[in-house]
Amino acid sequence: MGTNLSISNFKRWPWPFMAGLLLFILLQVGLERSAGFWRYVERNGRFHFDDALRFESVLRGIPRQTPFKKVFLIGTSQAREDIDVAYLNEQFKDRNIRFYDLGVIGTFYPVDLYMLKDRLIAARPDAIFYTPFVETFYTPYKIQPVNNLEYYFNPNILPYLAKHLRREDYDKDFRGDFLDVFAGSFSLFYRFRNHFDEIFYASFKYSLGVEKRPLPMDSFFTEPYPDSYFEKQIEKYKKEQRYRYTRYTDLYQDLFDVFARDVVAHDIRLIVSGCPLHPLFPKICSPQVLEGYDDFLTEQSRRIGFTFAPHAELPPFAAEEFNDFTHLTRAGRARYTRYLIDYFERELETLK
Amino acid sequence: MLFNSVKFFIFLIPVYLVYLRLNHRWQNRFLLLASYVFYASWDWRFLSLILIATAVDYFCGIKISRSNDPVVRKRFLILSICSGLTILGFFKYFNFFTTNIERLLGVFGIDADPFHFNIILPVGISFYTFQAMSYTIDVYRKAVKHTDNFADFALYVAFFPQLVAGPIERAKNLLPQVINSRKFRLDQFYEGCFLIFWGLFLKAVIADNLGKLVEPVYAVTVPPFNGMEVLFATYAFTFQIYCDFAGYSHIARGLGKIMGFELMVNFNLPFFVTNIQDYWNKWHISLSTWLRDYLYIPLFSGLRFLKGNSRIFAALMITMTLIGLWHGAGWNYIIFGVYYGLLLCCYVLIRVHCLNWINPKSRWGQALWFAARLVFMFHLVVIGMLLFRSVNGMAVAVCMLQALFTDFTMTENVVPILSKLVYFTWILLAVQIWQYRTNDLMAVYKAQPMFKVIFYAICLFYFSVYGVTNGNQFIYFQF
Repeated sequence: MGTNLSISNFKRWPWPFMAGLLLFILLQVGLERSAGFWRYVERNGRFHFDDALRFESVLRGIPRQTPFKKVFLIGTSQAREDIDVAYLNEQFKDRNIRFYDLGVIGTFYPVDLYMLKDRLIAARPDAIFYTPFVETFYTPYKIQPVNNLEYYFNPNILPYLAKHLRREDYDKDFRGDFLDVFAGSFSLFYRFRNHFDEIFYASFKYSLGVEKRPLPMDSFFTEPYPDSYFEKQIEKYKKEQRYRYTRYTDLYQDLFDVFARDVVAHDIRLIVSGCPLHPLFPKICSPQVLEGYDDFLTEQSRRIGFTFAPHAELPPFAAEEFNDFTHLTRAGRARYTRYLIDYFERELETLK
Repeated sequence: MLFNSVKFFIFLIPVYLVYLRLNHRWQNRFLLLASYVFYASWDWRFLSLILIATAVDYFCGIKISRSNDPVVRKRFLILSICSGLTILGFFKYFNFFTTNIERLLGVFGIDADPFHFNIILPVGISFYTFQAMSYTIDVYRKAVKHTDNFADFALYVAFFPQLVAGPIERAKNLLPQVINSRKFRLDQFYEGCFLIFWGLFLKAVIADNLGKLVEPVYAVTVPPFNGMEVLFATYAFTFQIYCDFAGYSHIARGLGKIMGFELMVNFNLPFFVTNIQDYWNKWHISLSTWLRDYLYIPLFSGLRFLKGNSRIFAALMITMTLIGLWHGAGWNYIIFGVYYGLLLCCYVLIRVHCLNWINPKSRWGQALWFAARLVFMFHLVVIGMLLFRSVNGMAVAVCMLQALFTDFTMTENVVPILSKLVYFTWILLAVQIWQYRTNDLMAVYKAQPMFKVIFYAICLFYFSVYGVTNGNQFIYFQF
């Protein structure tokens, strides 16, 4: 093929395109480092769907050096929804302790915990209060819109995946994400595109006055579901055996072990606690699974040296205090928070 | 293997690198192989149809060219056309016709039980059969010289950038580019890259996001419909189909350019027109000119027994109905064609007299008159799109049309559809206004560097946040 490699037209495409790309990257770097941008994201985000961004915003907003002690509340949607963090902070203000709401709506698997480990430790907490749910250890990994692998990917996890999973699990659950992870590592907008798409559009909508900005608390469920909901769910869960031992359980336990050891090695106080469960919960989860959950964490706490409070140590909650099997109503939330205040008074005494 | 998928780029990059290393003869052979692999990635069995169409038209082209006997020439032309139309007719229209014949006989109380085949429509069949047929017609008309090289002709039929959704190339344009050696030019390469970028933007950002607005409104099959929702969803569909198809055409042209081919322009700002004739000169140009040259003009000549405007009307109605039918085997497509046929007939009637009545003298008056005609034309196109999109039956389409003119209630869905429509189409409109004002389709490419930097940054932002990366199929693949 004959060639004419004249560069007279080089300015037509490559330079402007590359400059556009550079501008795009710089814009993202600037926004990523700006507190205002994260406040904007939190303000315009949707309560449930955009929780990963709220998490990101809270984590980025934590100062490293502080005159007060920092306690991170991490875990699933129960950590996020069932604890009144503002009230906790009010109660512990005089005791020089501040709590940070780092629960994430969704399951928040140990896979995600492992990915976030270094960032959590780098934020220098004095204590981490972690509330894993039974599902955290006893369901296969599911990519969720709120705690997605691609947000916090850490390649060090690959040997663990290789050790515990079969090729088909790997292909099914992770392969597609690796491409996104790769692209997302270059672009903040791409990484959080499932959230930004609505957030940018929503702020456009709110600024036009087309729609009223919802209050974040509006999204909390406060009323219990009807009895028929529980009956249907019990049937459904029985059929699909949602909480059960799988290959992923070994992976999760392995990753939790690494997380716990690393946290304790950094002189961070780790408290792991069960969370409130509806009285009907045993009907959707076998006793072996519940026992397995408690036994594993009890054994780990003994070996690694963290505090573990099993479900049995929690005060009993009435059915009326739940809106579903795991999430509390407003009254239940208040009671659980009061319980935690007493609990933290005891457990965090050494931090004072 | 869709242009907007990672798989395609995994295919393209090695193909392109090898292509650049070869000499012209091997380039053509290699491109032919790549084109067949590209097509086989959908369904390898349908490669046989391309091979049959190629072999028949190649053979007929030689026979027509080498014979001076008009009867022999005509015989081979008919063979070529019949074989192309038979393939197309069987795979695309067989079930449609048998079903309708069955219904028609049922009206007269005849219970017929015709054959029904479970036919899968081969991707791009309407495009490559028309392209192959145009070659024999042009050879017959002595507009092009036949080629003796089978591989060159096969590449002309199966050239992968435009194989499945056009532009429907003419032998006069593409075949010499296949036969003669091509030169790699950096400016052509850059133009190609720009077209691929812009085409992907139109498809993955605008078309696929607008599709999400259209789908829920058109999925409703039971009245009542809300007129405002239908109106804005149909606006969205109009832009969706434009961005989908023009996006594909841009990518096809861009791919052609980086390999040294110049494919024809398929869309030339079709929303900036003030009459329906102009619209068809600027929308899907390769199809409308194909039908103009190979159907409308011969028909018009053949209908000598009709006098005056009726001759034009008959030729127009037949051509436009067939344009509708070309799009798919469904009554909505036929009615879409008839609708445009009627509009064109009306235009023929009024263009001489009525349009001259209004002739504003002032600059503002002219601008307003021009804008009014643009808006009016756009809405005529929108009605056509509503008919085109109504795959749930004509009864539903009629109810939607009725709602369009009678129901102006604002529902909670109207504002989200409208605001998203604005949110996704403003870049397209800004670019097109600029292209129109500069009378240059490459206006953005030739713009001031600072402007281009901002343009690319905005496009990259939209790509990263809104780009649909799961490789949605192009709408015109089904045709």
